[in-house]
Amino acid sequence: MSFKTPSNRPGPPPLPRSRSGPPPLTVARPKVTWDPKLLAHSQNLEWLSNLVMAGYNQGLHRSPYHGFSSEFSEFRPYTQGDDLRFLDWQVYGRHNRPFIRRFEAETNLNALIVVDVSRSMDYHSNPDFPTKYQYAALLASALIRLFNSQNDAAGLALIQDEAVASYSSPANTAAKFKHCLALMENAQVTGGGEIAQPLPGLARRLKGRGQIILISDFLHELEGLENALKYIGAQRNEISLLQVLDPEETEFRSARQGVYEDMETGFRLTVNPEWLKARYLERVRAHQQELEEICKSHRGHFHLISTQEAPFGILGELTARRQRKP
Amino acid sequence: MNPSILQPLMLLGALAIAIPIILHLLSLRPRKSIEFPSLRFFMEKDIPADRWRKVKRWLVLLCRCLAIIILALVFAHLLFEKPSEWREAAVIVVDRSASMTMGDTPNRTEDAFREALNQMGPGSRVAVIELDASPEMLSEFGSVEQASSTSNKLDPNIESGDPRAAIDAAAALLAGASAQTKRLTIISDFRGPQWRSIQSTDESIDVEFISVADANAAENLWLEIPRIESTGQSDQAVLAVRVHNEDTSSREAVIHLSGDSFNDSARDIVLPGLSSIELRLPVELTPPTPEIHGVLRLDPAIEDSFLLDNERYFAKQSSIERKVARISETASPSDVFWQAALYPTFDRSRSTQQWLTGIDAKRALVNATTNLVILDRSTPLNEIELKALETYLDQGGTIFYVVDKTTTKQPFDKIIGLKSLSSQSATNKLLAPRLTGFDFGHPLLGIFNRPDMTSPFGVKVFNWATLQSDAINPLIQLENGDIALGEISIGNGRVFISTFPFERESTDWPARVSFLPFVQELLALTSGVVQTEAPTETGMRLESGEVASLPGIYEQQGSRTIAVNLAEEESDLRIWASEQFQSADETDALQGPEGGNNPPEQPVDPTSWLLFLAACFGAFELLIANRTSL
Repeated sequence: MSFKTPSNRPGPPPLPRSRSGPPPLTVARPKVTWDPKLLAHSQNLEWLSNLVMAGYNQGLHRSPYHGFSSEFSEFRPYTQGDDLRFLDWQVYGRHNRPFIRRFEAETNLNALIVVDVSRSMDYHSNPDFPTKYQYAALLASALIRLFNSQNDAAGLALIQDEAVASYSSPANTAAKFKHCLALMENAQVTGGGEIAQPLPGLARRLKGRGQIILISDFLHELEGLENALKYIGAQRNEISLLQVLDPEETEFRSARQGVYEDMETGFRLTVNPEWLKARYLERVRAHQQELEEICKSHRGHFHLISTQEAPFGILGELTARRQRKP
Repeated sequence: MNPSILQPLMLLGALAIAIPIILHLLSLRPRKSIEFPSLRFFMEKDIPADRWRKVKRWLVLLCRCLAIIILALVFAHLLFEKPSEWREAAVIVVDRSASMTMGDTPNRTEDAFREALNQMGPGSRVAVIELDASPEMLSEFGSVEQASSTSNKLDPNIESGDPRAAIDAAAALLAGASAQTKRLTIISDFRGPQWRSIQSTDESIDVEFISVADANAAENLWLEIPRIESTGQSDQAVLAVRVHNEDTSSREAVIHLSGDSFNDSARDIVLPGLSSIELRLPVELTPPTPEIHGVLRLDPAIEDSFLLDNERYFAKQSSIERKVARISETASPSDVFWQAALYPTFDRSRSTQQWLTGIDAKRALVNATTNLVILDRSTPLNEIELKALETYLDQGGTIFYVVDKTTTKQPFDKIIGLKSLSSQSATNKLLAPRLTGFDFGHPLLGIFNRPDMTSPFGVKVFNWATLQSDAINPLIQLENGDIALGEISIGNGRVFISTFPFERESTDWPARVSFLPFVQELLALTSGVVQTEAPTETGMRLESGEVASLPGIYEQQGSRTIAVNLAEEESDLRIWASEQFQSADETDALQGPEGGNNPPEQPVDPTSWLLFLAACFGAFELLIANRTSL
């Protein structure tokens, strides 16, 4: 799958309209149980962007402009018209020359949580574990809540069959948050395809610098994803890839012999795990390593998440790397 | 290419193609599978298209079905080559008659059977047939190993062996099985009159006779001088024989009676553990043989016994038949035995007998075309008779001169040049000298040099005469160096001199089985019919139903006819036709199929090709399966 970068930058591709109500039930939907504790806990966390953001409102993220934050930026000679409130009187007394203290501006960002709702995400090897989509939905809800709590606008896009199945534009309202939850609750986890195809269009929807978080299992070819990340990075968007995998996929512990069926393609294959386990694990690790290298080459962040881990810990681990440095 | 199925039942194995078909249908059923997010990490390559997977399934099914069908054909021995690509088709006819139980004959039969199999090449197809009136197929055409497994079925039974039907069946088998070479091997003791029949075979058949007759089987048997009793019918008589078994430790004694005079029911008699038994055997009298002109017996004790019907002879010159009358029923045992030996040559019809005496007999001697004159030394001869014998010798006649222990002066001794003679006797019969020093090169004794002929060694002589003559040619000598049988040439004729009479007091030879062949050979030699280099016919055409008169090879309706033992011997087989065929086939083999010295082409074994095809299909199936799986 190759991705074609539009040359004349036409407008973003048409997105399906977000529906106020849940979509009609055509297939069995995975039941997503929201965790209020997780949502409450996420409000106490901070997700700071590593890149300079250019929001419109006051926020926690660095801005290319000078503003009124508490972070000192530089001294500037006083010019007529400057607000005397920012005159540094101590420097003036010491040097007998007026200087204006300037502070870094802090702004908010537009975050877009992109969740893969392909058929492969509806997998869990153990009924005690959530499916990958359920886990991804919990993470997405917590992240939206987290961004909203730090005055960032957060949106949601559900990708299916190499297209955007549902889209909620970034916003910082409770209604938007509920809408996102409803979208995820009513999403039909089916179909297949790569997640990379609609990403450039979504990046253009952000209208400037923003945060794009991809939550998927990334069990497909990475060539298209690399092209998409290259385009997104060129748009000065920060990228985070959260690869959600079931423990069975990463460890292949159950090793049941039988006919395995690909959840997306329906292809069947008789598998003897005793023969193929080592080779399978080797290929999975190679795939993850390649994915991580692609992500880092575009200044992104890669996180491998297992569904057997508690979302609390994962969320804390994700935000710990982005704490404000003292 | 004419395909032929050797084992059609094995084609039922082709029904096994139902197995892959059922497996294919079962694979079409939806099976419970294990869902997995992505199988791309299990695959070496990309996931194949669904259409190719469907095609692959049908290809795999097709390959499996073809492989099973080919394997079934392999086991069914489907031959696409012509049957003529057999290198050699051989039929072994084994005699299982009761006479094959004599002595060590069963072991030699088995040895001969295995040796015949060893001569077969690896590509030979061998069938084994029992020699019987209703021959049983012991083993159909198969490999040499299959034929060798029938060696345990060669035990003789009590049936009499009639070679005619068995050889016909073998010839029919060989005619149906085309091969580069064909061979008919007959393993038998060749005893009995049945071997005088004519058997027709294909010209490409190589006939081989293997005799397993036991030459020493009768050593333990002592045969008392038999006598012949009339039954009142002109063509039947009863031969009374008393048989003594010296080896009483043996559990049974087997008496094999050979000769044309005995019918089948009288042959091959097994005597369980008896020391003595008298047999009364019906004898069928055969008409006179045309080549034996007559035997004149000159013996004063049985004067008027043998007379030649000279008038009838001249009256029926156009006919070959010669009438020799035997008139004495009370003759000595030796005479009876002589007559029994000569029986087929005599005409027993009473109505044609004339009793000639005196001068008639002497006149007959002068004018007769008698082949053999048997003369005892005690027979008084007058001058006329001596002159008649001289004339007879000059004309090429043969006189068998029996010298007994009488000291009476015999003027015939001067004619043949006997100077002096003395009588000798063995003090102990157990220490009596035996016959030895045989001149097997002589036509009279050459018959004993054949491997299938009973040896005269072991014959004891109790009373004999020592001869002194320069012209005598010794044919048989005694152990002490004296002459037992000699030959003297007189003019065109010859005189055989026996130094002992064939009485029981002088020798046990008449009780030995070798005596009858000796007498027959004497008659044959004097008649001039059977010789060592006997005339044979080759290439003459026989019309349908015509019987050959001489041994040889004849053409009959485009095929070659084997004339077996057409000579007048009553005992054993003379393999004239076999020698002819062997020499002809050796010539053919040297020339090769195209007339040159080309080796026969090796036929291609179709089984290997079929197995190769099956392996190709199996490998192709694995290739298809591995292409999309692992």
